[in-house]
Amino acid sequence: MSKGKTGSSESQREDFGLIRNFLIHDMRAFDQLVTKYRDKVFNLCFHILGDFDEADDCAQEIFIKVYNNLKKFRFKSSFPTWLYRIAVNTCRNRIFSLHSRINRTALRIGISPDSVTDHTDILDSSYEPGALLEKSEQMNNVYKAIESLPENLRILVILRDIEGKSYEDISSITGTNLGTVKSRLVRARHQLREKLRGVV
Amino acid sequence: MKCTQIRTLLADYLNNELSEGDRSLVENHCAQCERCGEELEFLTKYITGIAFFMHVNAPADFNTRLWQRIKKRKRKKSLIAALFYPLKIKIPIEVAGACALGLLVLLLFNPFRHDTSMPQSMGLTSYTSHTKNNEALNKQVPDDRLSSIEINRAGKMRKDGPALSQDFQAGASEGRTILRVSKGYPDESASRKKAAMARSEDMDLSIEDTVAPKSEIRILSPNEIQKLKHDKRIVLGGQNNTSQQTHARMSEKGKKSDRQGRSEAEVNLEHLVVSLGGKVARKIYNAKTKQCTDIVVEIPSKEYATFIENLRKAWSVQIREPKNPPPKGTRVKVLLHIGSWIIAPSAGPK
Repeated sequence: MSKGKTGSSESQREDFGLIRNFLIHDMRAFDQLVTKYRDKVFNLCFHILGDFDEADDCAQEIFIKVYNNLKKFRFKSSFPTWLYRIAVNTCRNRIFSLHSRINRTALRIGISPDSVTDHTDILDSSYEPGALLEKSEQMNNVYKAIESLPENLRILVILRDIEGKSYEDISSITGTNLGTVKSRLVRARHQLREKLRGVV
Repeated sequence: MKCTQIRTLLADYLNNELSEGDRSLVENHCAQCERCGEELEFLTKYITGIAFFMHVNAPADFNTRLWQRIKKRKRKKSLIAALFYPLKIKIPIEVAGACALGLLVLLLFNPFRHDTSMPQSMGLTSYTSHTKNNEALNKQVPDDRLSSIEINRAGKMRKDGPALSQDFQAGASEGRTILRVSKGYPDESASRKKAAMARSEDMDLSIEDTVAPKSEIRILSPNEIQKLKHDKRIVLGGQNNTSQQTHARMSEKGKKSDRQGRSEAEVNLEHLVVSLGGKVARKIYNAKTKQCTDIVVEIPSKEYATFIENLRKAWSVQIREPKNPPPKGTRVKVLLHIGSWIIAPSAGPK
């Protein structure tokens, strides 16, 4: 435990140092920050949006926002929490703005629970979990069930169960109370249980 | 502990985030409660499935493309900054520049300029144009019931345009009075509106020439009067009101007039109209001279012939009769445009 805390504090110190360097116009510092967090941000975008290209575009948009707003960073919270907050909000905006397009191209967002079983037939060809992962049928079903959750619950599940964020971090990232986060997560899991009944 | 409380702890139990006491509570409860046991089993499988989720990495050229996008946006931003920032300085300068440019354009082209001269003078050329237009109008609108009466003080009557033009020219050189009357009826049709539009074009033509004598009474069509309804110079109402306003205007300018401020021509026309059971409906005054330029009279249609006859006693009259005469029992509106000189007593009819 202490090791983890030490590691995170070291990482935080490193982040703060890079940010300070960036603020004195050291562009290499920003490049290092991007390199350090791009995979995490990209992964988060991919799981929320469910499309590789959209995730790529959204991740770039997130780092452009970071570039433009890093001078507003107050060094009071950790950089990853701040970054994830921007990422989640950008993904949410992207989901709303692309709502019609998503419906047209049948991306795997907002698919009703009833259509979970026929999910594979209407997936966007840019991402096919079975082809990409080839892990197990069970995992595939879990993934589909997560994607069929409402947007606010899906983000919580992704942050908690896939990204492994703590409740406190999720509360900071999503801007909701700790209790709300916990109760929503319970609700999300209950819905997942209903969706996966007989499958898992 | 209730099942709902236990279920909130199940995920933390699987993540090893519970204290020893809580862990034993959860384990004991799940061993006894079948539903909570199933829930725990499901969560175990779920978290195991989640653990196999792939971690998708960003493309290799992510940073390169990111920097390209940042630089592209910077260029766009710098252009906007160059145009508008700092706002406090550049916006007022740009607004002032735009205003100056607008003023310059206004001065050079003056799109709002319009010719305000009154048709006090009308010459031969313009009158010919007018006659041609009327002929064209008669061809185009066969049901037109407008009538045009041309009167001159020599007592001659002309029905055709060119002849009238000659007479007009002669009248101009001799200083005779020419009176042109356009007559219409209250029940107007769509063709009458077209006629009125055509007539307004005639008025424009009449302004152009400068040969004109000052001797002119021109009577406009009712449609023209309707178009001029919103003209501030139009005095609506009965004779008393009209006379008072006329008096005020004439007094201001020191013109010769009767006690009520009316000119001799006005008095004569008003007497004639009243004697025939009609009334003066409207008067229009020239903004510059403050003299009456237009009179709208309304007379019974049965008295129309008498009215014309009386006019012929003082002036020569040319009449363009309507093809469809007015129905009996209706009243006729006659609109007169009067040249400024005829109002003066010295220029009255011989």
